[in-house]
Amino acid sequence: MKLLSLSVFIFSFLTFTPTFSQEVVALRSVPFDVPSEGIYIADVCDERPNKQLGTHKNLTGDKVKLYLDKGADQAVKSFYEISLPQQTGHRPICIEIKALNVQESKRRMNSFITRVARAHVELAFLEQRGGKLVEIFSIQHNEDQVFGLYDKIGLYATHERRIRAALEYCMLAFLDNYQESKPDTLATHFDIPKGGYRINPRLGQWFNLVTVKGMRSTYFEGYSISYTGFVDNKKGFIRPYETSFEVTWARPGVAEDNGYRDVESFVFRPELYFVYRRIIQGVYVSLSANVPVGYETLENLDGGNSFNFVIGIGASQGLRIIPWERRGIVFGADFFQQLETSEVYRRDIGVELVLGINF
Amino acid sequence: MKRLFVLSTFLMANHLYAQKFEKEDLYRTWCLDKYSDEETYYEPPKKEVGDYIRLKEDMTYEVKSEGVLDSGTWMLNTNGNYLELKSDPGTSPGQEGKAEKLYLYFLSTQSMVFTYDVDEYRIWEVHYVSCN
Repeated sequence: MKLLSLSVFIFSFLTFTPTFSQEVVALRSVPFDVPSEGIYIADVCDERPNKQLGTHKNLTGDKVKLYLDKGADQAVKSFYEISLPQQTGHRPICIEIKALNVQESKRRMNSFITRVARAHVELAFLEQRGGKLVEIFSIQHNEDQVFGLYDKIGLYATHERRIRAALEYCMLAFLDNYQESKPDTLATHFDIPKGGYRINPRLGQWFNLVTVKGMRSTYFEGYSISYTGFVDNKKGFIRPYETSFEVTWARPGVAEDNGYRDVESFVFRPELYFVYRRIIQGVYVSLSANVPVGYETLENLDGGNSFNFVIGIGASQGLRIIPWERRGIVFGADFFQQLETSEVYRRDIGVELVLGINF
Repeated sequence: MKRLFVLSTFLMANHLYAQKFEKEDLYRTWCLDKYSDEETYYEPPKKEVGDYIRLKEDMTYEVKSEGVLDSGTWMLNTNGNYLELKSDPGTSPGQEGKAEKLYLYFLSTQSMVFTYDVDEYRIWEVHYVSCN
């Protein structure tokens, strides 16, 4: 009996899927200026396989699925009708919603971390030609906005406005390219990019890493603890934000070999250059160049102390492996080389082993 | 630290739009007047004296930025409260114009206040006044 209840428990645990409550987003009726009023929106079809806008934490901290009020097709139609009311003689246009969602992530901005929000929209515009509905224009657009790291409320409260802005952008782009109703006096602003729209439909996921490094070089050993934040990107270089605390000491024999009893150094490493590059999902290489700057205190064999200013140049190459995307462990290694104005060494090379968590 | 505070309070305030901007108010030549942050106003640097943006009704613009002239097309996004300025494509084939996003904070027939959607300038509000 015990075994049965245990198996039922394990089975229900394994098959557990979180259920989220729903929240609706009602689009405000804000009209926008259109260059011509020769068209109206006859019909809007929501072609998305998944009708939600995305799963987000609401202002009370609960995870909710967001939907457009009255369904996306009706909401989008009503939104456009305010600016393009149906009138006799106007041409009917149909719209297919290929994508419509809102997203949130973080990214590095200068030496800070900021929140970023996105409304992503993909629309196709269709018209009756020769008795058939024909696609005459399509567009993908991201409406992105940057917020302060602590401004969760401001970001969540403005998803609705970014959807409106994205819908307005797509309609203005269509009208700008729809020669049948466009006034000749206006310049074309929304040129269709050659080779089509190449925008990234998803904001990269933000990773938080807290790692401990054990370090050993020709002359020193020590450890450090670091926080690293970065936004994932399949292509191109990723610029992580990193802050770390490091303690090192001279390896046994190094001080004595150089005529000192003890050597301690206190060095910061402001980065010149620091990037990650994704190789495959969960595997990143890192490259950095930095300027070690600080001081060392030297105790010589007869007990006297001296002080030395240290500056140099350093580089490192490493690997980070993050097997579990959402939360889990991180491990990796770094090789580093440096040139410094230290009293005990000029050139140093070493290795760091990295272990930590991501969340 | 002070900069961090300014940055965070500034970014916090960026959803508090209330004004609906009228396209007609934009059709004029705007002269660079000053910059500001949460605390004070700043005179533009010497090389920016005389900078202007001319927004025309045919949706083209002319701009003098740090003394350098440029032109292109512009649009107003009423729901997003921003202007998009797209400079004319370069002479080499396939080169597309560079787009800039300007978030509007205040607009009247005499004055326009906005921020650039660029990390380096995000903390500054830019004040232009009508040159007409």
